[in-house]
Amino acid sequence: MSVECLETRDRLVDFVLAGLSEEETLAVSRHLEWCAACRKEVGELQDGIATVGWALEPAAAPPDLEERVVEAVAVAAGARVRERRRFRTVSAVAVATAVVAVVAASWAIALVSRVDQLRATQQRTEERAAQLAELVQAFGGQQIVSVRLGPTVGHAGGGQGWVVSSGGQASDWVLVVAGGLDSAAGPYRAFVVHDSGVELLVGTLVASHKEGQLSAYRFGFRQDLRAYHSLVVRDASGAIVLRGAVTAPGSA
Amino acid sequence: MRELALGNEEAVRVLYARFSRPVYSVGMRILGTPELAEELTQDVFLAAWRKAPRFDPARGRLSTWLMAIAHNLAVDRLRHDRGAARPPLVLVDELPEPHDLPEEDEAALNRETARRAMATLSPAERKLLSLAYFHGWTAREIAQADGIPLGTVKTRLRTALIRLRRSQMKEL
Repeated sequence: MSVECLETRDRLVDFVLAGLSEEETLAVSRHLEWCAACRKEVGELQDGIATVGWALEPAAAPPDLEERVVEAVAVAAGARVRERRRFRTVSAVAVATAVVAVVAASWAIALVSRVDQLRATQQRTEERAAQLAELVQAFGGQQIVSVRLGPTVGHAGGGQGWVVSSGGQASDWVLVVAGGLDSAAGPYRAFVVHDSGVELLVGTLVASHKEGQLSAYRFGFRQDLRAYHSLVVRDASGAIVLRGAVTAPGSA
Repeated sequence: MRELALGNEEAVRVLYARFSRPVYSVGMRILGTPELAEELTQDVFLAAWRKAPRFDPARGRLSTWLMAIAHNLAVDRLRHDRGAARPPLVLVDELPEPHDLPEEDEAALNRETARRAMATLSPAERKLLSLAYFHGWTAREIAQADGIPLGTVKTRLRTALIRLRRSQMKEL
């Protein structure tokens, strides 16, 4: 056995248990590309890992998860344009569709605009968002918070988010739209942030029907989102790439 | 797998029907909430689609491959959410209690076989594997917490995993 094999074998338990750093994982993976003996060892260890997972008490996934998974893969593979999800209330359907359409148009322009044009686009987006906020409030006094997302130091891109809360009268929800992100650093996840700093997952940003644009939304938060006034987007390494705080709170 | 790589919906549904429950169960056990388990399940099938062109059945079983993806993503997420803080010390028996949830015959058979395999582990092996698998501890973290030499931890974990595999192979 070569010295490299010995060094790799010493790391294989941590490798199969996801306990190595990114650099170490890459080094082991490269070794496995050509070393059949070490690959055999990894295969046997992974069979053991799989056994632990199979032994778990089965948990029932929500019935609609299958459609979400199928849609996510189909959209990622370019086999299907993302379809509108079944929402719980008509008002949520109208607002979410309208918001996405508004932002899609705005950001499609913004992504190829100069900075001064970007500011004008942002202002038009906010005006439309204010109009939509009035529309949402007409459906039951929900508070809608608009959040402009800007890039953190060393990153590019931008976006917009909406946090809609009803104070317990209906399901709260969040919508995030973003663009200009480096696809190599994904997948990206959006989080809504409580004033105390606690983060709740909104979802993984996936391609929308507009080229270069990603979106994530989540309905049915159990938490009361009235105290959540900011959003962050993290890349695959966990670094925050976009961040924003409330720009236009509205109240019931 | 070729159809999966193309994003064929039927291929995704076939894979989902076979593996969504154990994948979701891994998410619930490791990450703790339905929301995160749903997110993990979606990420696992997306990763399976991305990696499908590289899957080689000669190198291992599809179920092993997919469950490895599920565990890796779950632990990555657990560590991300935990940040740089040292993982809390837990001493619980992670072997699940019997559950009455109806299962497909294949899944039930897999689970029973796996549970019998888990029963062959010693208490020390189960504890080490529990810390590593469910709580994302590295071998070094386990060694430091328990005061056991690192090499001993790695050897015990390896022995446990190989024993699980051999136990399963006997039943097939």
